[in-house]
Amino acid sequence: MANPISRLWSKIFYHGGNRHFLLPNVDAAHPDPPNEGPFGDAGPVVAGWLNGLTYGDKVATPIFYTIVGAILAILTVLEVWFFTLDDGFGVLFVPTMLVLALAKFIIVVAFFMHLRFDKSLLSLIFAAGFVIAIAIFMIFLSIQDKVNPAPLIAP
Amino acid sequence: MIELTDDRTHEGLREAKLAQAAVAQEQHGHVADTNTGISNRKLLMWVFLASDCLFFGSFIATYLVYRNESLVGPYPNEILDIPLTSVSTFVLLMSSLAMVLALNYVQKDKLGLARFWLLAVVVLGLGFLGFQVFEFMTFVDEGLTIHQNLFGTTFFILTGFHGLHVFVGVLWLLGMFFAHSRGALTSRSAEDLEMAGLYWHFVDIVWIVIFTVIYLIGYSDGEGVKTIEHAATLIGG
Repeated sequence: MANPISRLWSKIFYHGGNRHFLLPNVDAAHPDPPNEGPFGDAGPVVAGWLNGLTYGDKVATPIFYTIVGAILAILTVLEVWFFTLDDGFGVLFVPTMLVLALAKFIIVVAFFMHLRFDKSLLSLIFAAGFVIAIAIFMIFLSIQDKVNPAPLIAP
Repeated sequence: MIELTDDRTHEGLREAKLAQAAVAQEQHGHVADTNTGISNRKLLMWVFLASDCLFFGSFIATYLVYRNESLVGPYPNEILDIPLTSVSTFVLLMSSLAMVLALNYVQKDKLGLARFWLLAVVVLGLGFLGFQVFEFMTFVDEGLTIHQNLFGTTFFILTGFHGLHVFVGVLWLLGMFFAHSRGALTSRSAEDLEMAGLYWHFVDIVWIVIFTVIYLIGYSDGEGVKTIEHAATLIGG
């Protein structure tokens, strides 16, 4: 029989005395850990909060739409403000403008056009049209050498 | 595992679908009696809007292909009026807000408020068209016509077709407003207004792209490069 110090050592550091380290009783110690992922149990909480914020008859009220309209107005003001800055963004100017435009686009389509609340088939149809349009757009620009224009070299 | 008979499976699915439909109906109005649960008109409208993406996508791509290719002026950096266009963009965005409020009030049978917001959409839409007509007339006065250069051609085609879409939307909404005045528009026929609303919001999102790509990003566009010597002149060499 092990002496008291050895028993205490096993109790503190080993799992059942089988020389495996005693792991803390966390989600990851379970064979099928719940909320496994980089953000742990924050994921479902944030998802639930976003869902409550953007969906449901309790929020799809005139006040909700007015807040969405105000956000759109603020994004437009930001766009114009960034535009007035002299080289404030440099090479990041175009990506910043495109991100802001994309945010406004998504907000209008999701909330004003109700795709957030409607059946996902409608989102799929519209996204298909949009993706094909962007593809045509990029192919068009590529074949005209507008995406990576060749440098101007004297003959 | 318990095997369900066909009847039980079918009954369970039917009950689940009915429960889902009841929730959706309570939250967002009528649920159509079709395979998809979406009314055919609404489905058709979304297919049309998806195809309209291709229509405007082609025009925007064409504009970008001919960016900085104009050999004679006026060029974008000489003529585009960003403050004026920012105001007109704001007007169109707010018309979208008015549109969604009009639909919301129609669905709730608050017809007086619905009528007010519907009229607001028409007024704001006409305001946007007024800005665009003023802008076009100013450009023509300053020498930019559809024949003048590649910028003029691609700009007028793109913004002109967008303006035409807005004009059609205003006519459609005016029709809805007068129908509303005669009592033809209630929560039972809210889908009629929803169709007009979808079209109107689409016009708005197209303008969001045009404003960013053509006005804000394209503002710095100038003269096209004619020769190597000309390029050297342009970059100050």
